[in-house]
Amino acid sequence: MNAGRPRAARFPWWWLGAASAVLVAVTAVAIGTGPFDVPFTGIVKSMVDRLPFVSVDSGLDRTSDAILWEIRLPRVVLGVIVGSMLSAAGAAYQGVFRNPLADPYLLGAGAGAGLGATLAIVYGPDVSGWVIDPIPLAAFVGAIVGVGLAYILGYTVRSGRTAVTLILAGVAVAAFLTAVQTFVQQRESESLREVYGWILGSLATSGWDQVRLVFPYVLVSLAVIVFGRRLMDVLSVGDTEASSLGVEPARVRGVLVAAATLGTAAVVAVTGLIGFVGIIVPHTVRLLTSASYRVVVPLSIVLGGAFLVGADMLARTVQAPVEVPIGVVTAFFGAPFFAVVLRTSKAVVS
Amino acid sequence: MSGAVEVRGVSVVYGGTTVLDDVSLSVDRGSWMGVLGPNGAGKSTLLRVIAGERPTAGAVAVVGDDIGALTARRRAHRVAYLPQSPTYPRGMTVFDYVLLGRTSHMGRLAAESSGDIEFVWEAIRALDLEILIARDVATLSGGETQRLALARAIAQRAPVLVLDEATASLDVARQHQVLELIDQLRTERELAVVSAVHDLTAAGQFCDRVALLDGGRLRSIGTPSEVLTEDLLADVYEPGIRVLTIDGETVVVSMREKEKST
Repeated sequence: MNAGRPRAARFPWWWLGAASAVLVAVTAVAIGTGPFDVPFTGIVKSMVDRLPFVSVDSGLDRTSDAILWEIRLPRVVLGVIVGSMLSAAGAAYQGVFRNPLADPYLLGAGAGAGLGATLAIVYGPDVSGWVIDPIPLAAFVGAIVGVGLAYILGYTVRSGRTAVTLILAGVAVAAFLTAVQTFVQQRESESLREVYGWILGSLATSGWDQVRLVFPYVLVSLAVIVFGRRLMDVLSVGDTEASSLGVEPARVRGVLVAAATLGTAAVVAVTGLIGFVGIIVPHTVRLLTSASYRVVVPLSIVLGGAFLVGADMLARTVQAPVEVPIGVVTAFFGAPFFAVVLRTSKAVVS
Repeated sequence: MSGAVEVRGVSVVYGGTTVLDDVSLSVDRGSWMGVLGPNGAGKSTLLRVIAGERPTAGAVAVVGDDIGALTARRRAHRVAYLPQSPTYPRGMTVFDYVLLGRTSHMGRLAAESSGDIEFVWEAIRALDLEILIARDVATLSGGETQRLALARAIAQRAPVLVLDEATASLDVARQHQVLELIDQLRTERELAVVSAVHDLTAAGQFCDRVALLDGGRLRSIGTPSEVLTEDLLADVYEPGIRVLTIDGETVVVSMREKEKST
C-alpha cells in the first residue's frame, strides 16, 4: 500500500523557503540602501517599535525616520507587490494559453494602458490639486479596455473560440492601440519624455497611497491565480482533453485572464510598463524546479517580488542621483541571468 | 434509452464533408463495443461524439443523460475518454499526469484527497508504471505513454471508457496484457467500453460486439462472428483478407497477393 505523493511529485517546500529567504534578504538590503545613510540597526529598531505593544528607541532622527517610512519602505513594499503580481500574471497567461512567450501584456493590457496614459498625459487637464491622478486611472481603464476588446474580437471569430484565436486577437488589438499611442505621441512631441518615462516604468513616485491603491486588486488577483494553479496543469494537456477531464477550458481561461488582467492593470497604472518580469521569473522557476503550476505560481510570486525590488535598487543606485528606468534594469540584468539558467538547466521549456 | 451509451442517428459534418452519417448504436454496462473500419471511416469522430463533442445531428445519451446537456465535470464523471494522440506536457511527472484523471472528483479549488491519491496508485500499479512515477512524461517511450494515458483514464473511474486506439503502440505481449486488464476492469466494475480497434483479431477476441464503419456509415453491427466475415471485410478493407479459426478463436489476416509476392 502506497501513501501520499511520491517524493518527485511533492511540493518543493525547501525551494519556497529558499525563495522567501532571498526575498527577505533583498528587501532588507533595499531598505538599507540609498543616497542618505540610515543605520541598519536603527531601521530594525524603528520597525520593531511600530509593532503593537512594543516600544523601542530606534535612535533615528526625524529625517532618517521619514526617509525610512515615507520613501524607502513604501517603495520596497510596492516593488514586492508589483513584482509578485507581474510574475504571477505572466505564469497565469503562460498556463492558460500554453504559450511560453506569453506575458501579462499579451492581450493588450500593456498597449491599452500605454494609450490610456499617453492620452491622459497629452490631453489630460492640469492635475495639481486633484484627488485622483488621471494618469493611473486612464492607464487602468486602458488596460481593461484593451483586454476586453481582445476578448470580444477573439470570441466572435467564425472559425472557433480557441486560445490561439484569442492570442491573435490580442496581437491585433495591441498593434492597433500601440499605433494610436505612437501617433498621439509623435503629434505631441513636447510630452515625449514624460510618455517615454511612463512606458519604461518606475517605482520612483511610490508612496503608501500607491500601495493602498493597488493592494486590494493584487490580493484578489493573486488569490484567484493561486487557487487556479491546479487547473492550469489540467489545461496543459489541451482544451479537448482538459474538457474530457472535467474542466471548462474557456471558463477557466476567462476567469484567470480576468484576474491576471485586473492585477496587471492596477500595478501598471501606478508604475508604468515594467517589462520582462512576467516572462523571466516564471521561466526561471520552471527551469530550476518544476513545470507544474502548483510550484511555478507560488514560487513566482515570492521570487518576482525579490527580483523587482532588486532591480529597483539597482535602478536608483547605479547612476545616482539619476534613476535608470526599471524596465532597462530588469532586461539588462535579467536577460544574462536568464541566459545562464537556460544554458545550465537540465529542464526544457515546453 | 436503456444502455450505458446510446447513440441515436448521429451525423457529423465538417466543412461540408459528412464524416459520420446517421449512426446509431447502443452499449450496455459490462460490455465492450469495438469500433472498426479503415482509416477515415469515422471511428475517432464517433468516439469524440460519445465523449461529448456536439454532433451536427442526432443525440448521445450516457448513463441516461444527454451528454450535450451535461457540464464538463458531470460528463467526466460518466465518460473517461482517451484520444488517439494524448498530450504529454513536458516537465510533468508520471504521477501528476495520472492524477489529472481525478480532476473532476476534486473540489474546484481544493487539492487532491487521500482517496484520489489511492486511486492514482491503484491505476499506476495496474498499468505497471510504478518504476516510472518520477519520470517526466515527455521522456517516455510510445508504449510507456500509452500505458500512462490508460492509467489516467482508469483513475478517472467513470462507468464508460472510450478508447481511441489505446494499444496501437504496444508490442504484442504488452497489447495482450493491456487488453486483458481492460477486460478485467470491464467485468469487475461493470464498465461499458467503446474502443476504436485496428487489430481485427484482437477485436474478435475481446469485444462482445463490434460496429464496422465505412465512409462514415455503419456497415454492420453485431457479435464479432457476425461482423468479421471475409465478404464484408474484403468489401470494406481489401480483397485479400482471410478470416480463420484457430483453437476456437477468430483470427483475421491480410494475405499478400500472389502476383506481387513473386
